[in-house]
Amino acid sequence: MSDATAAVVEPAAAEAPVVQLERVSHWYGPVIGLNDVSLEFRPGVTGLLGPNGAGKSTLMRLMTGQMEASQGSVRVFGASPFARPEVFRRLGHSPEHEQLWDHLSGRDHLFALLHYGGFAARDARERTARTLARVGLEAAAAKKVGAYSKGMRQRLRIAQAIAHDPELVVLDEPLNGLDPVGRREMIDLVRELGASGRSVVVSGHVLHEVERMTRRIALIHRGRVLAEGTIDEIRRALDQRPHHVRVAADDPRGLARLLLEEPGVLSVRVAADEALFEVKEPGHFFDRLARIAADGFIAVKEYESTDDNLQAIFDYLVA
Amino acid sequence: MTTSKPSSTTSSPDGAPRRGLLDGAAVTVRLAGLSLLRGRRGVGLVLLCAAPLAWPAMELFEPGAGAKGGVGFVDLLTKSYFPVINLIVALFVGCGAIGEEVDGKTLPYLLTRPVPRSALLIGRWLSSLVAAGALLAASYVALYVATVAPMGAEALRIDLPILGWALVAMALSLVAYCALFLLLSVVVKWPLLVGLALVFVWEHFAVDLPGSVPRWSLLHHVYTLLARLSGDDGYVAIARPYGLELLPASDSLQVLAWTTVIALALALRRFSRKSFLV
Repeated sequence: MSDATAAVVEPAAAEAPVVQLERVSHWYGPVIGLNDVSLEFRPGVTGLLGPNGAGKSTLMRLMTGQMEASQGSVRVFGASPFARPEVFRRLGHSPEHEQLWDHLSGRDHLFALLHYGGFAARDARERTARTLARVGLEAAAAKKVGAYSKGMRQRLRIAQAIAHDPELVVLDEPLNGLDPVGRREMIDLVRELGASGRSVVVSGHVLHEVERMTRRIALIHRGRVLAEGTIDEIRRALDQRPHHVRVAADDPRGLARLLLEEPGVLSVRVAADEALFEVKEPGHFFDRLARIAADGFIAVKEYESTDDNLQAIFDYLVA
Repeated sequence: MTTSKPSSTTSSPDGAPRRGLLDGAAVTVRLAGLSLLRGRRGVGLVLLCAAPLAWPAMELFEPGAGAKGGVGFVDLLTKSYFPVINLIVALFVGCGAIGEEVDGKTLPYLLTRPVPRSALLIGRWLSSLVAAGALLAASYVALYVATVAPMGAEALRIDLPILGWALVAMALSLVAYCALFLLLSVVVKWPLLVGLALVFVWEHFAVDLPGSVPRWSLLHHVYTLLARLSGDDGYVAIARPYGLELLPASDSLQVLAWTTVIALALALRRFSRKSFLV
């Protein structure tokens, strides 16, 4: 985990869920978009991860009341969000696609949505200026949206999602189209929103970027939730399945011979100065490895679990 | 959507913004302005509306070849505007009221605001009336001036009621047609195609069929209103195909009103329950 990620405020398990999905399924004609999904989102940042077509956008459309689930219950702030204005007062949504009203300036675009959403003109103007500055669009406020770059459009989409200070912010692929600097700024913004006590649900498929925003994730694949919780919790839940450990040692072949005798070590691949073990009980394996290192039979230079990052967990679950 | 002069808005007691049906519809109209006449659709409709001006212009080059005076004005209205241009303008603007947000994938921004869907739909219907009405009214006035002005300033004053009644009938017809085409845009997959079929296969020909068939078309009731309101022989002849009895104005008015109410009610019902995949 990077230093940046360490500062992320995790959703407090004790707090009441802001979004509750109970056995939700949704079909697009004969095609299933979501299949029996049960999830809860609490204050803080939660990452929704999955490849394209996994069902992330369907889930977000249901949460933001644009669609009604074919089956099951979706509740946001305790109520069904479908076409429910009182829920929308507390909700901000940035859709995945990049379409906006190209004929308006960025300032007019944001003002129109705030004014339409119920803010008096003066308040809407103040919020427009404040939010455009927050997302770094102050200098381009008067420019027509049609002339915006992809990254600027993304910033404006996020601006309209947060301009009314919603308690729940749903961001569908918010890093798409942003340059590296923009990505870093947006990641900071998402973390800041989470740290301020808001519930932020953010989808993505660039795993390390989501990992920098939050350690709490839900993995979705083919309309189903594969795993939910912190990355560490998910890893622990998977301990009963094979776990990969890379060990660098001066005699990797000898180390492999010693450890293969241990129960729970399923296989080993030996290279010039390291061995890659597949183990079923990582706790027992690490104890034994520590003893071997302490006894001094074989010099163990370093070891790491290659399954602790998000990419590995994801690859593992969808394999 | 476009921006115009903002209005004052109401807030709920806790200070959080909120809009009801009327407030939401009103702000939708204000923000939409004439945006339905923007882009290629707007250019196309303006050209279409301007096309009949070619007839009075022909009079300038070859007297007797074009249209002239109050009679010429009514002739052009009944041959081009009422049976074709009004309907096409209403079709494109009515279908675009919600359709342009769906096609442009901008509908999610509107649907996820604390405004009832019904307010958005009614507001967009009113916007379509404003846009189509403004365009057609400007065209009627231009056509009136172009056809009647050559007869002298006195003719412009005397024939003014002809223009007035034409504007009234146009406005009433738009109320019903825009509601009908708005309904199509939220119910069917290809609203423009279905709308064109309705305009050219039904409305355009039904008014000329024998028996009481014309009474099943909205256009017949628009002509009936024109005939009753203005008393112009040109309108009366069209409103009584094959000697069909001329209906009272109130009957035709009721047909237009009920068409509007039913179309809007069905559109509201569908729109408020529809899942959008944009």
